[in-house]
Amino acid sequence: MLEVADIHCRLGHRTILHDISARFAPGLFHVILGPNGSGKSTFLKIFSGDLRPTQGVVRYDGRPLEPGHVPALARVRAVMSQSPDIQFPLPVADIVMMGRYPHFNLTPTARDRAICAEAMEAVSIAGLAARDYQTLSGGEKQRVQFARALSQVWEPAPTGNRFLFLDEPISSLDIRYQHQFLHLAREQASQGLVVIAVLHELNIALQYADTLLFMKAGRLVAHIPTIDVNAALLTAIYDIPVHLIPTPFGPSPLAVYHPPVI
Amino acid sequence: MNTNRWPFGVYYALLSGLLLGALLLSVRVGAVSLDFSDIGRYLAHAFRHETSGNIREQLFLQIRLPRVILCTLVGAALSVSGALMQALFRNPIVEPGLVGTSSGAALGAAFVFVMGQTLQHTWIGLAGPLLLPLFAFAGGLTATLIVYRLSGVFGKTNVNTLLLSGIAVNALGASGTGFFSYVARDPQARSIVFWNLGTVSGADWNSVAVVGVSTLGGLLLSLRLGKALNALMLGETDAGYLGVRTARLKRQVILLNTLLVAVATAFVGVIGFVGLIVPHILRLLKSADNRFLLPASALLGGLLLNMADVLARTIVAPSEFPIGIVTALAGAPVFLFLLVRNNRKLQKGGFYA
Repeated sequence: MLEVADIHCRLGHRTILHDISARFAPGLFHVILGPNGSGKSTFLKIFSGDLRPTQGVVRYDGRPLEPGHVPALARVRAVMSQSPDIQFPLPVADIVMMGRYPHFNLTPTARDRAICAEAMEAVSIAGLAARDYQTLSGGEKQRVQFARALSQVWEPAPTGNRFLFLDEPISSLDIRYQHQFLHLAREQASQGLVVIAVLHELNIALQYADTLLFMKAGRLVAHIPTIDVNAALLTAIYDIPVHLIPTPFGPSPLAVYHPPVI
Repeated sequence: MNTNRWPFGVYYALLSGLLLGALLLSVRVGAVSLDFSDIGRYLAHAFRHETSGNIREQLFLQIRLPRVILCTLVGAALSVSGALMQALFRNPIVEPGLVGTSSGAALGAAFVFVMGQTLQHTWIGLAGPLLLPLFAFAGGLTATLIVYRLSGVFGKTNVNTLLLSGIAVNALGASGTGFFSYVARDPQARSIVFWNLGTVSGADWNSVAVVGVSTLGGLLLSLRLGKALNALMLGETDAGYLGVRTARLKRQVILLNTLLVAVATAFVGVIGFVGLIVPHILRLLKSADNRFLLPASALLGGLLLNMADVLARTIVAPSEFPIGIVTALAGAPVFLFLLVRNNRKLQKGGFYA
């Protein structure tokens, strides 16, 4: 269980987040949605432990997050940020192995290697293992980073839950990989992880998320099960008329937009 | 044959072998050539604490041997520091001569050379023989911190700001050093040439001892940082997510780099480009993995600086010229190549760069 309580975040004179409280249960795929500048990424940085909130507390399995927890936290919590660029030539396999860094001391064990191989297989990049990361396309880089995050929390922790956080993970992926990716994310959730993703693609979120957390202007507007989403809420969030229409493919509706007269 | 498949150990063995060869060549040649049989005899004498009045033996034990060892140590120190700095700035074109560490250290050392007599009578004089390395350290640290702060540590290092602030800090350091060498009354005052181009001709056992302690200590401490520095390639935020305490890591790297470079610079002046070329060659040869780069840089750095010194000693023998001329001649083209490639990559990266 991940809990955040009364989170405020001020950077300079600007208040980025106002009084956010939420609980993220394990076994579910949570998606954070909201228009640009609503504070989604800042919120993710705060509960990931990268940024300290001005006020409020983040609890992992009931324990408040402290700066000294960095190494221990890395063994149970993986974060996939928006694809980092690296300035040195490094093979893909080495990047994925970084996900195992919190788990071994000097040299990786056979188990660490096996986990990396499985993680690369899972995101269909096994064939890229020897390629230089710098030469990959944006979408390939995103899949490498996903494999790295997966390998970091691949095995159950001795005690407590595992956490997987994804910051706009599918922005450079084409449709097929977007679906493969979110399918995998949901699969991780069904294995008992707390999985939280920040997404832009509303329809994809409607299709895969178990709960949706809507943010706007630094405030939490709603945190609801996906089935409870309605057009009025989406219209209020995105400031554009939204309609939900059923599809023949499953229970999740499709959001379509009727642009306002500008 | 794909040499890239060889494990790290093969490279360490190869580099160690080559370094040994370079050492053997280096103790032999120079203004006076020595035979291995003579060298063996001199070494045996030295171990039994016998001294003979033989001038060639004195030359070997008091000049040649310390010089070769100092050269190895300095090459290792500068190269390890280059690898450290490139990892810290997350940029392959960084080296201690560029980011001000060397010129700052030179300024601190020049200050001690000129003002040392005066300082002896104050409380600072209590530091005694450690005065020189201490001041070099302070100068190098200040210069490095200035450039590091200015070049933007948040997210990406801005290469333009980095190079420009490096130029400014280097100019400042060089002008201070120039001032001190100009006002020096000491007849054997170190010349500007010494500070700007570096030379190992002043090597003695005292400098070998001091540089030896700082280099070996710095190297051993830096070896523990390899994994964390690899994670830092992803950026500070992601390194933190991988369990690296980034603030502490950055402090450690800057202090280690200053220790390695400042102490070496205090005794041999500013030797440029070694710290740039050596990690670059190793990345091309094998891997950018810092767990490999750090120890391998020490070996290859010692090797290359010895070869540079052999050239500096033999090309115009029996005279010699500053070793920095050789390293700049070899290093500047590599630097330009990296800079051009770096710029091209930024342009190609477009929106995401």
